[in-house]
Amino acid sequence: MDRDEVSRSPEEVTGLLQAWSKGDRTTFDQLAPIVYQELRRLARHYMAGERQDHTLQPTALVHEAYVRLADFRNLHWKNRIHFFAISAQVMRRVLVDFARSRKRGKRGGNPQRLSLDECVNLGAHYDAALLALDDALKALALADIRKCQVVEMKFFGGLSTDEIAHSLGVSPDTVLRDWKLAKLWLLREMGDKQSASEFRARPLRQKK
Amino acid sequence: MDGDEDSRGAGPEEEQSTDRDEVEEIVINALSLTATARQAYLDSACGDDRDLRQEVDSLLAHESRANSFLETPAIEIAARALASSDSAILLGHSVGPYRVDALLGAGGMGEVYRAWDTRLRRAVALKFLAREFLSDGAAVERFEQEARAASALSHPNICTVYDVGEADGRPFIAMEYLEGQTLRARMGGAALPESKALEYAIEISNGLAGAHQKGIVHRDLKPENLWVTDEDRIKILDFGLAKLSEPPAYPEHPEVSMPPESGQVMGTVGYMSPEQVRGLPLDHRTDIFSFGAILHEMLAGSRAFKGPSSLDTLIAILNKEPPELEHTALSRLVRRCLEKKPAKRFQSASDLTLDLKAALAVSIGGQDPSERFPLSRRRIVQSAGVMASIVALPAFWMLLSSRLRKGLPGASAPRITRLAVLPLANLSSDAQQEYFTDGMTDLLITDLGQIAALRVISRPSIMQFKGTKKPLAEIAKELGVGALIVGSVQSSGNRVRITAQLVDASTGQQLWTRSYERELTDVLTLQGEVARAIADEVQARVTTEEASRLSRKQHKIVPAALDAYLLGRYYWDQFKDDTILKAIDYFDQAIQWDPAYAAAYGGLATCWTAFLFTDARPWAETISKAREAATKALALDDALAEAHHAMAIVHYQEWDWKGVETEVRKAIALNPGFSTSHVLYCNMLRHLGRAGESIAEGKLALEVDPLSLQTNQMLGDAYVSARWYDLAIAQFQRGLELHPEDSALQYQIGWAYVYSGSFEKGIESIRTSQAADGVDPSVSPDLAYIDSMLGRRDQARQVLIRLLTLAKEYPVSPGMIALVYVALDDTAQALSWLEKAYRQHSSMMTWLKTDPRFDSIRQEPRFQDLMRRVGLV
Repeated sequence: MDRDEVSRSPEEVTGLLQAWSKGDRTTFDQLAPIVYQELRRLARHYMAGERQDHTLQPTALVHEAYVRLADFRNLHWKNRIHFFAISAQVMRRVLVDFARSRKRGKRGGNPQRLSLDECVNLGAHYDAALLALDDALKALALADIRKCQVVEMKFFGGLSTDEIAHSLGVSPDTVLRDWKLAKLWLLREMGDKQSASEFRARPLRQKK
Repeated sequence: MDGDEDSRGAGPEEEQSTDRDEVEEIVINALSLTATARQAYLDSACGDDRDLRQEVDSLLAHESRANSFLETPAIEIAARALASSDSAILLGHSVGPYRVDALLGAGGMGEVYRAWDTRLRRAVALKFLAREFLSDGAAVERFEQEARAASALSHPNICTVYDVGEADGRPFIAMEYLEGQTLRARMGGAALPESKALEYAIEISNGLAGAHQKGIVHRDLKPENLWVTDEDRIKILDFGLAKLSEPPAYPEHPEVSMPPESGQVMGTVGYMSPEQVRGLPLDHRTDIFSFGAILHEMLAGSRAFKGPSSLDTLIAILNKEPPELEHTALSRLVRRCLEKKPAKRFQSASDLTLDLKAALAVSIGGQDPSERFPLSRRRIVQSAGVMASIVALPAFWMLLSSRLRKGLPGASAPRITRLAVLPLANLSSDAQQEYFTDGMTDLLITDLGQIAALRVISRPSIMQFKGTKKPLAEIAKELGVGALIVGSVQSSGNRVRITAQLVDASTGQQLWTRSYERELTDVLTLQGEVARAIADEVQARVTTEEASRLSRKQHKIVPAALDAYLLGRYYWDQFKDDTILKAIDYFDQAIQWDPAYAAAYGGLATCWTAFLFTDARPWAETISKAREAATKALALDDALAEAHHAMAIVHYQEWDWKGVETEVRKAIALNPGFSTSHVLYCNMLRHLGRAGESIAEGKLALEVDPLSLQTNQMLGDAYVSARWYDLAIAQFQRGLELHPEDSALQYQIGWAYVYSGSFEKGIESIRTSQAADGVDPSVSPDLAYIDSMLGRRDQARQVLIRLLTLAKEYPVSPGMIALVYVALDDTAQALSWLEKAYRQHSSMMTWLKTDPRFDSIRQEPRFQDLMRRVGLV
């Protein structure tokens, strides 16, 4: 992920989102750094305890990022959902990126990127599981891109079933069906019980 | 689902799809069956196809683990990972719309970069605050508030703040990029020529006056914070920012703790005021002290306070007098700025400016006239400037000496600048005379409101105190005033008696009481006299122009005309369609009694303009009547603020924004205490997208009319237009505290919530407002818009269908229908309904440029064309 400061006017963000919605996938590379930067900024706010009245709501972050980046000039719901879909992909990349760099770090990689430990210690199992999940998702994308997108949006993006349905242009029932099947598929693909069990529903570890 | 959604997910798996579909179908069906039923089902569904059965089984094998698998989103974990990544480097990158080009400087407070605003295509300076100043959330908030306040300052001698933003958790300010040098560099360690020093001083003082008027104190004025531009003008930098680092009361402050052996004194220290050194609360007079230190240095070439160490300098500020300047007259002026006690200094920067100008006039007395008025750089007006100097010079000295005679205002108790006239009591035997008493209250407010140096609370905020039993101190607190005027009116036959008392709000002490008795025919002149006397009493500076307006001999009024006029005002104040018609009738009568009665024409114009907003009368008729009455009123008396205001409304209706600005500014100059003019101006500015100015104007309105609905609403609206939804919500909340029943405020706060992303709260407020207004939510364009935003497009469409049906029989605002189409992304229909709204001359047309709901359509060429036709671009 590009860590440099990148920025676009809200109009540009809206334009990119529209291009994306029309099927221009190249816009992802332009949008991702913007979304990344904004999400990171907001995440810091949350982590810094500036929002003591809120716990970190999974989707609040993305909603707020959207309001700040694009909603400012464009209140359109459709763009918002595309935005969520993109942030889901960004989140996936971020997590995988971190998991990789942690692994590298153990072999003497870039230490700066490893400050992750200060903030959240998920353990090596989670890293391995993430990388396995990422690989499985890549395979799933080849077999059935839509199911991959459903998982991405739901797991990495925290989108609701209805939002995913809107984003993909299918019914919520189809999303639920895809979700069930994708999970079975992924579990089969990942094979290793140890990795997959990392993603069981459980209370999230709280920071300190 | 939605037919117009782009269909994604048509993956690359076409050939295998039959197989896969079959597998999936069987797996999904099997999942819904119990173990025994499942086996039977699988046997029959897969039949002999072993591959199929194997594939299905291999997936179903993971069923038990799949239930909890991936059910907790990873977003929180991702968020934490994000938060810990290290900060980015700015240079060469973009921050919001700004491309950062170069580092201009760095210091204790942070760094300043030169950047290019890609949106507005201009150079800007970006100031990032150092992280040390932003240790907690409250500090960030305060910084943003300060910067926003400063962004409301639009003054030629203040560096303009364009924008406040945040990059990477670090707030920054985008401001005017200036070429030139600091005053420190300009002085180069030596004295400036006297006239140059005075010229700079006047500009600094002017800038300070502008900021102080808006309640903003600099707190860190020093030669490093004063910029001399390439055009040789002064711009004050960094208003309000010093608040972040104060109070540096003791020398352990990093900037203060210079090693004593260096023999140097750090910049900031030498310009701090004694109260600042002591860490006491500061007001605008701290800037006057710092100014004095700077002026001293410009004239003398050396600092007013200096010592071998910072600590010595601080001690000198507290205890020592600055060295005498050669020029005795100026020395006195500088001394007065540098008084240890704030109460002994100049009490306002505008007073100071006046004295500086007088000093400049003396200082350059013998020079070439073309050099005389370096302030008016435009050659065209130069000769006019010289003319003015000849006329103005004696006036300055007159003012100066009269003030000296009186004793310096600051030496006594703090001056009262905010006043309220409480509704005068009716002491006449006839209770019907209420309109007369209220009318007298009104006239007194209007007369006092004309004195620019006073802030007189507008009528809407005070009429609620009519007949109140509240203690005066409490009322004064609510209105935020230093003094109240209470009194009574008694009229019998042809004579009227007005008694007025001036009461100090804090002590309850009666400062002054006077009683006037006149013939009814002289009552207008009498009101002016009362206003003048009050202004004198609170030592407000009354300009010669104001004085002549107040004391001009009003023509002898025919008692019957006055009576009809006051009745007209009385009915106007009820503000209903029928009472406005009654008011028109009375103003007409007043004019019949006295055809030269300008104020009656003014009242008439005001009444007609009211119909422009209610649609009760045909627009064309109303506007021509309003214009006619206003024109007549101004022909009789060009100094009638009310008539200029009415004329501004006429222009507003015609979308003639230049015309509005000219007239409303005249109205405001003539009667700065009339909140409605500020409100009108604020509204126009916000529609034109001049956000900073509109907020400043909204604040002025609120200042003179803090409790009324219209001022609280308007400032909130101005914040909405500026997209500062949090401030808008706070302002509307304040309005709702004062007017809890008001449905319009509910509606406005509802939308502000929606804009800020709090949809539920927003919908609730809008529904509450509609319930109060009797709006059927099933045909609410607002709710339809929000439905569509939230993806509930079918609901939105249903509302639209009902609206369109309704529109066949009832007048439904085409603009509102257009809004629903905008929400549904139907550009063609939206534009066609907007055209309808345009042909109807709908007031919604004025919203086009800044209403957030039009954001998604604003770039459309036809929409742009509409905006152009309405004069918004």
